[in-house]
Amino acid sequence: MLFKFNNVSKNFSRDFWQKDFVALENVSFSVNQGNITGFLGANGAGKTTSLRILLQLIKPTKGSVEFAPELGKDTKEIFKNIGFLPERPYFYPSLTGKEFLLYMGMLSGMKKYQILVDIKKWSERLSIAHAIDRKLKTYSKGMLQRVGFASTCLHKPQLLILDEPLSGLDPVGRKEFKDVMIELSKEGKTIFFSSHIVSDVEEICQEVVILEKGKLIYSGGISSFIENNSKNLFELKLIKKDFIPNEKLMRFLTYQNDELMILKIPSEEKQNVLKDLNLNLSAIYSLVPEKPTLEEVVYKIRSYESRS
Amino acid sequence: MNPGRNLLTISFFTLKELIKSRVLYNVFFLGLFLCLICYVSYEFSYGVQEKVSLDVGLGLMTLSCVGISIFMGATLMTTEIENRTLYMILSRPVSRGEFLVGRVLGLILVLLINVLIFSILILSIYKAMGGQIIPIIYHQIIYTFLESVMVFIIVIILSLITNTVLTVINSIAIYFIGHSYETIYTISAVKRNPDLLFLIKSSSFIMPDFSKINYKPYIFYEKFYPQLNFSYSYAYAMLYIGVLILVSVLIFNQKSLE
Repeated sequence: MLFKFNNVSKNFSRDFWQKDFVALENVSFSVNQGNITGFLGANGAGKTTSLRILLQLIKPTKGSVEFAPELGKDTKEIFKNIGFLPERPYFYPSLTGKEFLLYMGMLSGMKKYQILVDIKKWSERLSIAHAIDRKLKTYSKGMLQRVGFASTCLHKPQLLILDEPLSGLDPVGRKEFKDVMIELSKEGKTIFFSSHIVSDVEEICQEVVILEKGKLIYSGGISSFIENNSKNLFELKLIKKDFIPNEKLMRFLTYQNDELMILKIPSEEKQNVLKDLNLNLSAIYSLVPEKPTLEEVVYKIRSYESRS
Repeated sequence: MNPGRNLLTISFFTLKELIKSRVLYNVFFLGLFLCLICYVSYEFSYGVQEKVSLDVGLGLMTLSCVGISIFMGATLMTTEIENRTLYMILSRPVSRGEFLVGRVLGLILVLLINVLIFSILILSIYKAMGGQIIPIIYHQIIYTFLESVMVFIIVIILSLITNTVLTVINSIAIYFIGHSYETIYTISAVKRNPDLLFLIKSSSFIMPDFSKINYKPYIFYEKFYPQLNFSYSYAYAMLYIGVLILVSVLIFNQKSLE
């Protein structure tokens, strides 16, 4: 465990005649060392509020955040081992990319020559070397995101906290960022990044924390989350022209077009269905166990939560 | 991590950022205006041209410094919060106090550069017109700088507790109040009413009293001035600035950065 949320709640006061807005309610989870952990939730689920509490920018109404001793003994030592990229970062427009990175490196306690070496490395790795001496006001949104990411990685932190790091990037940029995250993870860094794009999280994360309207829905491994929340189904595709109509099978039909029929069969019914197809096996196009994506499972749970 | 290094780093990059944002262009335009006024006064103020140039010069320097303090100071911290730039800094081993004092020092350095450039310009013109440079002029230049720093720290405190527009309006109001104390004490209605006098005197413990660091009347109208008052004026300004910085750090430490 690298850090842990212990029953964290956060209320924001509104006008005195209105009830407080509950942004987080008894949220508890932990993030393990060396993993890439995705922090999922729809807009307004409480992700950014959680990150601000984690970074001590705002105080929780209730509960606490605990850091592992490996990160450091006091706040300064802990923060020296953290790299944070806020959502839609906006930097000093009059400074050049190099000056900004030098500024961030110096605040992290690095020596000037080491910062310059690392600026060269990261600007090349994140494809901004050509613009590093230009003022930040001339940078595009994606380039600012890259400078922000470089400043986050510059001081070799143990824990990287990234708030929507992939937003505002083109497909090539998204791929580059994901590759860098995987590389850093292989080097033993812990990455905790928020996103509302489930497929990004599923692609690179081992673990996930899911929030919905300020409440924790799940925290843990992605594969076990999918397994626990999916029905054990098989997908049977039949070639329509070879299929001899069979009333018993039609109750499993979920979709059909001119060529194929798609049936979703519970695993306990699989044997019976195959028996029913005994004389008609040539109609089988494929039979595979259905594996829902993380997105499908999350969507299903969200629908269930909003109904309840 | 050395807090002194953090302070220097933040103030250095704040200075760099502000200078690159062309804040010192005002010196060029106001300097040009000063030269123009001096040329005009040379024709119309027979015998006291050098005093007119010095008076206008010191006035323009005050205008420039207070202008930078109010308009740059009002956005110095709020843009950091609104644009989330400070999240990048406070998520590093930097305390809120270091960050605030570093930013404040950065702008104070800009004010210092502004005062230095103006002083060279004013004194050069004054000397060229035959004026004699006496020590009180140097003191007045330093007091102008300290006055703008006092205004600047008030602006910082206001910007931490209210919005930019209110900060600017309230700062200008406080600036004028600070320059009115000396006049208010001479009003007979105030003199006659001890309760009102007590109230006004009490308010001067919170509000700045700029008359305590204003020696312009001695430069232009009187020959003698009390020597000891200089140290009192410096002590007053430094203490006021110190207390205000402490208050601003306390407010910023408690501020929720939502």
